[in-house]
Amino acid sequence: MNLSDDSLLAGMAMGDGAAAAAFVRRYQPRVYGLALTIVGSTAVAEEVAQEAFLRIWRSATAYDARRGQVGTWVLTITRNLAIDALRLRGNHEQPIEPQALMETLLSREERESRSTHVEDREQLRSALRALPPEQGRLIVLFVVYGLTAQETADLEGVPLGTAKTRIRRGIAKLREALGVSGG
Amino acid sequence: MAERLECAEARELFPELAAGVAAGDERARALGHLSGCPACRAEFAATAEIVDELLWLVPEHDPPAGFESSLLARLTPAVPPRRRPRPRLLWAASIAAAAALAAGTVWWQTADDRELASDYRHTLAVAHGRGLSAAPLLLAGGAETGTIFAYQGSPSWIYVTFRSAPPQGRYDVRLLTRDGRRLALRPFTARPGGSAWGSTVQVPIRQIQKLEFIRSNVPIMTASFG
Repeated sequence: MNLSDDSLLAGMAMGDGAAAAAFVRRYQPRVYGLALTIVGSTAVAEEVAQEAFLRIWRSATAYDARRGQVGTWVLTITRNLAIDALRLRGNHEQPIEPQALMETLLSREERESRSTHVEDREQLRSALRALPPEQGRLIVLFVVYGLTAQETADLEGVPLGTAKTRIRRGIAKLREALGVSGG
Repeated sequence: MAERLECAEARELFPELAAGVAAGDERARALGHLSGCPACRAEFAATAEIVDELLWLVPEHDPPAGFESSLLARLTPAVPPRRRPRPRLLWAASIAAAAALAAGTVWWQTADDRELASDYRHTLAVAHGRGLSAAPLLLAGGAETGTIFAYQGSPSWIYVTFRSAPPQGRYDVRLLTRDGRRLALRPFTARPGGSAWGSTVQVPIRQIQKLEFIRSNVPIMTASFG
């Protein structure tokens, strides 16, 4: 089955088991991979990933194609649930290691050859790699772990204003590198 | 109207807003600004695009054996998913979300809250801000305690973010329309840590004149839509 994400989601919303299975197979490595990166525990990542798909299924009827890529919506739901799972436990089972997270994100994936937008992601990866390390670390902590600017500042041992400036400048550089203008 | 931000000040909040981690009051102020500033909406959309794309850099990983089969068994459409047993995680946030807008409940800075923030992003993008209005929520003495957003859509909804914690307790919520009707909305219970409340509304947003949070028949917090 080579249907679009939108079509599979519409099928799920209609209770089509085959569409649900195809959707799960398409996204489970990405959903589980993101959950695992954030929570650092295979057992918790599995629970998060299952809950993410359940939530996607429940929300499929309300999904509005105008909101953008289905995959981004899927990843956002997964990320948010993983962050909740971490916070419900009160702390991270593994300490957050910004540099390790950066290296994870900067490693090119072999299996990305199956995905679309490979070139865009490689371009983003290059732009992220080109950032001053202190900017890059803060941005990935902020985006992947959902830390607030204050939390990233505490983790990096810098003042809040410095953290905010680094994040804002870093994102501006990524936008510039990818040619994403504000209209 | 709520305190207006200058563009530069609003843009400082965009990264946190895009990542869904902005505090309730900052989110309210930024959204209030976005609803009236097309240039900043374009700027915010560009920031959000980068934030969204970064999540795609996280590597894929195959889940353990049995993941797919157990998940697909749970996705069987014959039984509504909400009646199924919850997984081991304490999905308190999910339970709160099940109540959602229709129930009128308190949101916490959880997955649901962040998804709601994302929905607002989406709403602004789709409606170009046309359907969104905002008004300050004032305590009896005139101090501003939060911001009310009202969205004209299907369904229409109103959403309140509190800048400071409202006095704890249960409130009746009453909506006054411009033609003199008084509509009771679902009550609001202020608890420590609560940051927001929302409800769908059955009248056109332009018909809303005032929203009141009432305790013992006394309006404690009110918002007027001008």
